[in-house]
Amino acid sequence: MCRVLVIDDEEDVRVALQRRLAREGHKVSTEGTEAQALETISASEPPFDIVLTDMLMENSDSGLNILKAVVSRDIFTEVIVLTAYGNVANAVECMKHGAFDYVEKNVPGVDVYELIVLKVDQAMEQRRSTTQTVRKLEELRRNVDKSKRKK
Amino acid sequence: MSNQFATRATHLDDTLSNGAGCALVDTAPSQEWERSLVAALSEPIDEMLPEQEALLSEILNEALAVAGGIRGFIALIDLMTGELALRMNRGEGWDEARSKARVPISQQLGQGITVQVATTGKPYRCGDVSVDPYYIPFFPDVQSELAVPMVDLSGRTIGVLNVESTKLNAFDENQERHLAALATRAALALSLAQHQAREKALIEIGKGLSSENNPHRLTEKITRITREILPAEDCSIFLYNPKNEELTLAASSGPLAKYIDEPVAAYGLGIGLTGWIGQHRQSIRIVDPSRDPRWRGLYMELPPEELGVFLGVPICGHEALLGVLRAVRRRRSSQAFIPDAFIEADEDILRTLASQIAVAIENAELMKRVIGAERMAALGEMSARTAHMIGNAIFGIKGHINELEYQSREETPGREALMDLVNDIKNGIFRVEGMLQEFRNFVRSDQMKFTAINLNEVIRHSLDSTFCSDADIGLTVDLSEDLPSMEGDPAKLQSAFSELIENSLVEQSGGGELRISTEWATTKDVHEGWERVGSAECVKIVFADKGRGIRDDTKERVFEPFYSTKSQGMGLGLSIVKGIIASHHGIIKEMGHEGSGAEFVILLPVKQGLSDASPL
Repeated sequence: MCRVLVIDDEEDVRVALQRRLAREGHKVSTEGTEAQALETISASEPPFDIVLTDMLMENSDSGLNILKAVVSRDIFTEVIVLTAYGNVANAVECMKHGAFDYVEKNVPGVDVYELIVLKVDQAMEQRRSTTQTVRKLEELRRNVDKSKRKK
Repeated sequence: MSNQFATRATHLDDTLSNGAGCALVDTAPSQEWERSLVAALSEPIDEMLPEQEALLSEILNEALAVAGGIRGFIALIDLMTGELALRMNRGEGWDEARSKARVPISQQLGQGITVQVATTGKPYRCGDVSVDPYYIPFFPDVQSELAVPMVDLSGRTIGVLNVESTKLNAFDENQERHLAALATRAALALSLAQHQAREKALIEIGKGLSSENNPHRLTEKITRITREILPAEDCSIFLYNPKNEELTLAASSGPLAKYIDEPVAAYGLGIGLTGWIGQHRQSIRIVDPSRDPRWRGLYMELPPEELGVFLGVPICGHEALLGVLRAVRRRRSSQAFIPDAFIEADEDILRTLASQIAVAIENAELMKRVIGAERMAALGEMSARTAHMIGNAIFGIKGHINELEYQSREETPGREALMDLVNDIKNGIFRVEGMLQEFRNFVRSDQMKFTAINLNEVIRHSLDSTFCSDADIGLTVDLSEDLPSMEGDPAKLQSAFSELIENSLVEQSGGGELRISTEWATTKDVHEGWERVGSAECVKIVFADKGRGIRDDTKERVFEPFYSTKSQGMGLGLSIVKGIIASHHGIIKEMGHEGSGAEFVILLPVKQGLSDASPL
């Protein structure tokens, strides 16, 4: 189980994604506007594990703004960007800023929802492993510090 | 004054509405400027400006003072009707009918002394009317008469000044000389005033026309106005079409109007007077056009024997010939003395109008292009947004179907039929998404991000992503290693090349050959038949296969949007390819032969002027 925030201005999309991800056992919240989403992200406690956001809502870099807000709330929250076909350039821009991945909404012949479920799992896996790595590093650091003090 | 204008406007309306075969497709009321314009330009015979009237009146008074006599009048020649019309009178006994008398001009004896003077252009003095061969009684008490011609700047007789006496031999040679001088002064003043009015009117025309950006209405207006102000029997505009090198009738305000619709009147360049004007870009001003060796008479506004005079000027644009503006007058009588030939001033008017038309036509063309470009940009933006919204909505629907599939996972009666439906819906949605994809590619096919590219590499990437090795296709790749580093949008070019490869694979699904080559384009390639290529330094790319090829008559059409011979897709593929190549300032042509395979040849300029491009 992970905590997922779905941000999309299309109600059908929010409903469908929430239902599908809930079926996988995730705890899903949704937001329909960039402004609302930014508020929810900064107020979240604990922070979301995964944020699934549309790239283009009120403006063409809504996705990028959300990504920045998410990273500043918790650097380990993974962001998956949903993009219309052909907007890959924007999605690539998001990846450069640290998004986990992007998913094109309208790829003919692909069941994108199954793909998203998969990506969410992968992102969650990454989040776990990163946090674990960081914890291990911290533990190591503490041990090193301890041994230094003992000496 | 206002009364006069009202009269003229009514007259114009009559001419326009029932008017002598006027070609008025658009019966919209003529604008104010047009009305006042035509009024201002009317020949002095119709209505006179107050100054002109005052001048004539003064001259008539002076004539009577100099010559004596009990009565005097001035008659002016009406070119349109070929009549002498009484304009002004002095003395006793003038009733309504006499003061508005009009006499047809001919050279027969007994037509009257005034007509005689008008036809000969010479003064005539008659000491005793009772024995005069020309005299016809107008007033019963007249014994002697003196009539002198009014000769204008161009030497044309435009009217006659006439004094009468109840005494025999009332006028002598001296008085005749004085009167002739007066008449000439009147004629000069009249033509000068008319000249000024024309100048003023031409400026007005310019103002009026510059606000008209519909070429069709414009040409119509011009023919209408020109016909009124010259005046002429017919005034027409032929517009030049460089494609078939023909001058085609675009507007006429006279008998030629019947050729506006089928069959359309058209002269090839160099054919007939109209064609000659177009070819030589010089004007023609002649009497008896049907006797001119250049005359063809393919489309006749009048029977040849009635064609009196012809005046035509070329309409020249900034660079090219745009058309011909021409006018004809009906022959009013068999005599040459009627001053109905077009004069230099008429030619000047037509030339000025022609240059106004040229400017207006070119402006209209420019405006059309600007509006067209704006519309296309707006349409592109709207299309992209619409496609995005449709895509989003479909994405939502896909989610619901996903859920439907999940909900009906249990083995229940009717589940199989349900799953069939789900699959049908899914397939339908996939097809819509395919169209959306194609559509978006089309909309975006002209938005480029130029960067330095290795063309051969782009082609290899296209092959990697599109060409499947298990297809039964013999692949020959002949990429010149000599190519320069080029500028282009690698993603767009790759999708263009992939489309061509994909097309070839689909076309040769039963097996075949595909040859892809790149090389420097030769000067010959660039200059011969590749007129629109943006730069001299080009690379030539060829995609040739052994499929059915493309029919000669569809070689151009295959690049048109929505043209497709396949059942799948929207038929935007090759139009997208063309858009991408065109955005690189290159061109693509299909140069294969039907039956022996398609051969797409692309010329791509090496440089795109990378200053405004953003490297990825």
